[in-house]
Amino acid sequence: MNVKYVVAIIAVIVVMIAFTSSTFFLPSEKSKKVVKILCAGSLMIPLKEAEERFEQQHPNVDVEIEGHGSIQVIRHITEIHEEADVLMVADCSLIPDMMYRVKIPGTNESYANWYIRFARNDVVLAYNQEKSKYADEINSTNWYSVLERADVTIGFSNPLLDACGYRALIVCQLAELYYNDSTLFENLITQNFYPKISATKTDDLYIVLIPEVLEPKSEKIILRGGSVQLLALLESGGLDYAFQYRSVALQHGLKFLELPSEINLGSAEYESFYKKVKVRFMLQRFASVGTERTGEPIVYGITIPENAPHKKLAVEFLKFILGSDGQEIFSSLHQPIISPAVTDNLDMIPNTLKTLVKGED
Amino acid sequence: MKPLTKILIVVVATCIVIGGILAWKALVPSKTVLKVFHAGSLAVPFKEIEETFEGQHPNVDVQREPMGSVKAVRQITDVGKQADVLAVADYSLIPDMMYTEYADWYVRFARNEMVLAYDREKSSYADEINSTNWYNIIRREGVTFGFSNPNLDPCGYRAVMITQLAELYYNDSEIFDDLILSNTAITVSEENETYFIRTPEDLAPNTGKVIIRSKSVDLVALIEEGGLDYAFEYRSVAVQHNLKFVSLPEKINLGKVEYADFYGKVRLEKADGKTCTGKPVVYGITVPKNAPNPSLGLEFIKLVLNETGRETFQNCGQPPIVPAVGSGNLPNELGSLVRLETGIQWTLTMVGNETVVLSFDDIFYMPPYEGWGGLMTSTGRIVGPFRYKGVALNYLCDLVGGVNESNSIRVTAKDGYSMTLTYNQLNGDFVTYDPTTGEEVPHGELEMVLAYEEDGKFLTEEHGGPLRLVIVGSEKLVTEGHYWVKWVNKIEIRSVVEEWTLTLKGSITEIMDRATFESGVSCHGVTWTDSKNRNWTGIPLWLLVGRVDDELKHGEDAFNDTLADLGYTVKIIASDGYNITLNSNKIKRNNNIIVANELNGKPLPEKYWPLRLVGSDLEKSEMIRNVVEIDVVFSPPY
Repeated sequence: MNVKYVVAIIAVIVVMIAFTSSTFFLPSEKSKKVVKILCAGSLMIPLKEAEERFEQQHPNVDVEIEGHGSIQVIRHITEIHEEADVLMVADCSLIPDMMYRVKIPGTNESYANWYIRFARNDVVLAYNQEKSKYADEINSTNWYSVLERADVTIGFSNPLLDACGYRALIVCQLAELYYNDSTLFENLITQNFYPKISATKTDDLYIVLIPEVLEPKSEKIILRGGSVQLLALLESGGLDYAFQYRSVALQHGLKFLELPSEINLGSAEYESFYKKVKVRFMLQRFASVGTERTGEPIVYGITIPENAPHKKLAVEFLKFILGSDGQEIFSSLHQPIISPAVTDNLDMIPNTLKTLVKGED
Repeated sequence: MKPLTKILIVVVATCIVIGGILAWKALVPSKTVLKVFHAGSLAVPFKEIEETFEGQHPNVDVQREPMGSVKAVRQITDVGKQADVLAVADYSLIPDMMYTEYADWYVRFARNEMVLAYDREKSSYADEINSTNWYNIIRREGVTFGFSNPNLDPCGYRAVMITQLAELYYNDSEIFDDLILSNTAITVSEENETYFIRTPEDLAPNTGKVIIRSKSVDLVALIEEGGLDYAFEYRSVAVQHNLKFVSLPEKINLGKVEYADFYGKVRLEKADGKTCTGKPVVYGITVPKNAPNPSLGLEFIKLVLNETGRETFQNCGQPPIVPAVGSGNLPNELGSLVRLETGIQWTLTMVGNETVVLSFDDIFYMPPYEGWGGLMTSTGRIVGPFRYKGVALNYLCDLVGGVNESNSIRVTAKDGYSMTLTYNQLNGDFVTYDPTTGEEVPHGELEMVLAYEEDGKFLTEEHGGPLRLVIVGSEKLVTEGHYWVKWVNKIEIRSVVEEWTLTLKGSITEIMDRATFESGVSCHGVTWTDSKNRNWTGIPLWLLVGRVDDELKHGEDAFNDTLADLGYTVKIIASDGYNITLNSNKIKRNNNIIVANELNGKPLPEKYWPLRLVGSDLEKSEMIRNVVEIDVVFSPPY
């Protein structure tokens, strides 16, 4: 036999052994533990980052992230009966409202009985420095009169479908109060829809009424189902200005105008002012959720559902998010964090988290 | 030829002919017998079909044996008799009692239902009774009603079941009490929303009110004589005896397979201890596996199912199911007359000019629409595109009156999720995205389709099946997922209306929206007719004041009489600021001062919109229009 053949055969055998042993000794995808995270769409980018770093630290763990609107995130657990290990939403009040009193079928336990407030956001006006009309002129004192100009297009997500959308309407109504311009909401919003989005005003309460069907009457308003769908339009110049979360605008490298804290829903300090505006939907989209939303500071909440399949790992993930790694990721991606994070129920949270959070005052 | 020879030839020839005939008779039986076992209530139509069949097949003798449906099945399964056709009044007996040893398919071909029969001249209130007030009419003093003995005749226990279903349907908990409990020894108990009725041997009817006979047919003569006002009968019996009858709502008349679950809420235990569950009266037919002449049996069934058979059943008051619905291992010969059941249990309620409940099969057998479509989730993830097949939403809407620019379409899912579509969306006005780049791209025609198939397979529950709203076209494009409603079970055609609010100010402030006001009208609405005979409907002013005069908004004491007696004024303000004031003593619990939102049953015309103050206790000048605010003004304390 030719020596060449012998070498070749040995080589093949060596390669085969190496191959089979590597799949044997290294953890395969199948043997990894999956931690399932259900989160608000606006957290997708920081969580992708967190996923990578967490998996590096825990080679046996596969982090799976699924994003939805925040109400849908909770419904996936409480109504569609999927299981998840960690749940993160863009409006922390949804957790007590939708989970505390709902029992896991066949048990006497609620889906959740604590949550932690860990991040904030605020509403900004995103635009394209090159392509948006009057981009060189707009500033935080004239923005609404620039938007009112006939040739300017305004985008926001559908308020019936997306929290950023109804928050945009709250911001416009707050702006009317803040700038003391009684036609601001009418000019920007009401007159551009049929049926109208009207605002009823009393001394201390403003109700924005959102009809069951929402269709812009003119080309001035561009509505999309989610705020993500507006990004490409801003980039291509198909839209001049869009109401967006600060973090989303920054993460996508968009230029934006910061709005005053009094109206941008980003500051706990102005909570009582934000609360003057409510939106009321004439469509009950979810049987389990009411039709009214109140202006409030945007605070992100995180919890571990009671029926999470991998509770230990879920706690590890929360430690990661609330600890220095998470803080670093969120800060670098421009999502303002609450530090230390705050829980509504210090007694109920897992013990190992107690050093990372504080209770409500 | 000699005469003798001639005679001989004739005799021989005659013998040959006679012999031939005798031999023929001996060798070949005169007629083939076709045995039909059938439910008693099918006797009239089947007699007609027998005649037609024998006309078409002169060599066949159809022999029918009418009997109770359960007994008919037992003849085959237990007694060992043979039949070529079996037709029963409860199709479920075939799969339940015969599968698969004695039969492995059946066809649902006709139905019956319960009606309230009467005589136009002789029955009391005959000119007044209809399908919405019948249960109040037969409750009236002096009116008599009848049904057959529930222990002996299925028509009788069905009558008793219907009175219990009526209670649930009309949300009137006294119907069963007033009609049955007060007048007979029948009892009922409730457990987990199921009603158990017990009919004792001695029914002890109060004969001044209730007449019970052993068979429902026995009540017919009583009605004709005027000895009985109303009787619960099968529709077929009423039609075959030329009686007038009131149709009962489908949800309670035991006539529709779609409402089987609702009918099943009532169970009845007869005196012999046997329990019956409320079920639709739907006839099933099959050829038993041991039929001596299966191909002839199938021929007979074809006649039952074709045009002639359908007409016969229609005339006999047993409406045919068109097309008939087949289940199981159906013979190919029935292919064109029967649609095969999918077995998928689901209903879709369409609400437009009328309300129509469709089964999954109804939809499956409608003209299909196919196209490509995919969705983009709120986070930008793309699913699909896939090939979808279903029924165009426009086609479904046309079944209940159609849609125009003034309408919107509300789509609701099993889990309570709702989405409302505009007229333009119904006709394909959506933003589309490229499935690979996710960028907005223009598109050709799009159609909204209620899909049941994805890539050639029935939609699974996980993918939103059995019915999911999808947006499809000929291109492989993607639309926003919000509109892809899963698990659709209701579609309503609605009117697009301008929203409005009414601000109520007093001790507290309430901003009442249109929907809240309208639901108030449906509970506390009053109507006033003006001198031009126009009807104004709305809420009495004092009830609206009662919501804000003090902290208590609802209930008996919402309106605070003490405060009203102390005195305050009510200021009614129009959108242009014009206003009038009324004193509390004038409006206190006064139903003749109304805040109206409807004129002759429609929203107010623009001149008055959205609300107008009207009523017989107001001067013309006080009837202000375009009302947007009502203030309760308390006089300052001195």
